[in-house]
Amino acid sequence: MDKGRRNFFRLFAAGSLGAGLSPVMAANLANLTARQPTATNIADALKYPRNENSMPGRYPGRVVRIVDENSIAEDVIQEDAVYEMLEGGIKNLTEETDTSRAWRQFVSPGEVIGLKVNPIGGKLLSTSHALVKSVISQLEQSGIPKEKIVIFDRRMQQLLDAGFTPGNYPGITIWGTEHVDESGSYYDEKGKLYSLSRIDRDWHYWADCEMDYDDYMLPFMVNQGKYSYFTKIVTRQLDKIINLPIMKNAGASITLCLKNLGYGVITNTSRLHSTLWAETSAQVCAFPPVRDKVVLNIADGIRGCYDGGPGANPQFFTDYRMLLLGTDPVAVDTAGYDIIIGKRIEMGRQAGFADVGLRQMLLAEELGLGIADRERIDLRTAGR
Amino acid sequence: MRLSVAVLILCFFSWTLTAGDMPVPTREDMPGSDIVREEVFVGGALWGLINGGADLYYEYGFDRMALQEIEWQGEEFRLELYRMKSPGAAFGVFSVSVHGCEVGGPASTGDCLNRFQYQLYSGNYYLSLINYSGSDKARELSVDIGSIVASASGDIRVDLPGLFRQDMFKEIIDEIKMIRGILGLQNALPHLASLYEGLEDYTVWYIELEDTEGKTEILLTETGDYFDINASDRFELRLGKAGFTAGRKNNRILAVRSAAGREQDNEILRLIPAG
Repeated sequence: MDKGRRNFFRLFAAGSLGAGLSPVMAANLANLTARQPTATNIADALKYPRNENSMPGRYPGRVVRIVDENSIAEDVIQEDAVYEMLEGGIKNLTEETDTSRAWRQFVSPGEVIGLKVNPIGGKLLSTSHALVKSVISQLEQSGIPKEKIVIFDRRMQQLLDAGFTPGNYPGITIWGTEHVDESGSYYDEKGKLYSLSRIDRDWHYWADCEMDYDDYMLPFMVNQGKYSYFTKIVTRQLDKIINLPIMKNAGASITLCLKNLGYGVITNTSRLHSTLWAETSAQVCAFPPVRDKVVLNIADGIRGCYDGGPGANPQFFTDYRMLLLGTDPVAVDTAGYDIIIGKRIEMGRQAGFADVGLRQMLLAEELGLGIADRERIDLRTAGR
Repeated sequence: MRLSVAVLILCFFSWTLTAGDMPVPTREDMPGSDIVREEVFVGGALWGLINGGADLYYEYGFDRMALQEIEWQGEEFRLELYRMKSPGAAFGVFSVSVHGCEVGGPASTGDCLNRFQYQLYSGNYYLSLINYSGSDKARELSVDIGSIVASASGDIRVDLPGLFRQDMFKEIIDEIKMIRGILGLQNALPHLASLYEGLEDYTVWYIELEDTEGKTEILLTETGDYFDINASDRFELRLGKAGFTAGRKNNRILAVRSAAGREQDNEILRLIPAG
């Protein structure tokens, strides 16, 4: 917008027509009633006792922001640089001098470790292979063999499209709840969705809202109704989870640690978007299979976006050239929020920080999952 | 730019309706090209491709989307052509998706070109064409491909509300945004989203300008048949509380918030016809 624009309305006043508008009448402000919140079963989640691994984990409020200007060269993400960033970040977070000892604060030999990536942006803007391969390499050095590592997400096809294939990750299990076979079908020979055998009906997120899905949508939702079931990979198969989101906006909010988990481990999610977007991101993380297994969050900010998320539009890509590490997903998200929304403001995509964008973090803080209060976040910045 | 290129393209290329009768380009339209992937996503299937990103399209009214991955003259493109349920829906998605147009603009030309993306709307269609290199050549080819789509879909524009067709808006009309639900608001106008909480069936037209006296926001809300008339009062109260001065005519609520204050707002409301 041209800041020096002449007085817009006065210039045209002479030629304008009468308004024909009725003024809005003043009324009693008491009529402004708050919308009733949609009911969920979050109270059930809070009944389960916490343990030593429960969010926010070993280091509540601590976030390591590690930056390397050399992490991208000639438009290509540099795996060697990312490896070093990860190594520096994990040591800083744990205050260990030895990389393996740092990782062993979170994982142990014999455990099955899941890497929750975000492949929605396909080959353009998903969790980078440079980061995932660096994590795998450092896990192996810390005593976790490849056969105990699983890369997972809700959607198998997106994992494959983004390059999370057995060919690229030999020896690593690639697992999608919404499984698709080699012919591209989501249904087995009996006409049953593969995904139905991959969900755990003993664990559910209930919310008092529902939506009808057509035949095209059902394979991606798995079921309809008021129940969203947790995927078996988190309830039964994994011992620990390392959360690897990518730094993206979602409108005026972000899709980072909480969102990557909240919407990535349950079925029947579309019904939740319009009225329970922030609640779902926070509340699903409060259920024990997530709360007690996610021991580390590493937000991939080597290349992210500030608009167009969670999709991938190159015009909005930006090279943040950083990783954010923490055991506390709420603190990592709050730090990431300031960076991503700050970029949106800098680029003119929104006027200022809007409270609505922080809601998922504030709700998660209320649930004891971490710290959203910036005054209490220990943000450590390192790098070159 | 768009029309002249479209005429040129029609002279040299043919086009056919493919991909489920979607006006996508064919190999014949792009000599020497290779379409390495072509899929159509109908109804809820868009969720399978872009997850929650699909909700914005559903909110406006989505029918189907054709996806192509194209290789042409050494450049790679990702074409997404959305068929929406109305021209208004196509324009709305377009208006909140464009930013920093180097060439074109939402309302004036109906297309928008920048380094990595070419976007346009025409009739019920919204096109997003991404190129991966950002080169000049890729951008030129993007416009060629877009012109094929524009021509094949009739190059039809949407009528803006009469209010915004006045000369006074001519210079700033490319800033206009059209929104039809809370997700669109949260994406494009997050600072106004709370005004519409709990409301349904409305169309929001928004434009912001800055003159010598500061920023002015103009917000036109058109309510539909299913808009809760009782909620209307509540909405107008929220407007007032947020510093807007508002007036109503039939199903239109026009609100103004200017840096100069309510006196100026009233002056502006007097100057603008609501029609």
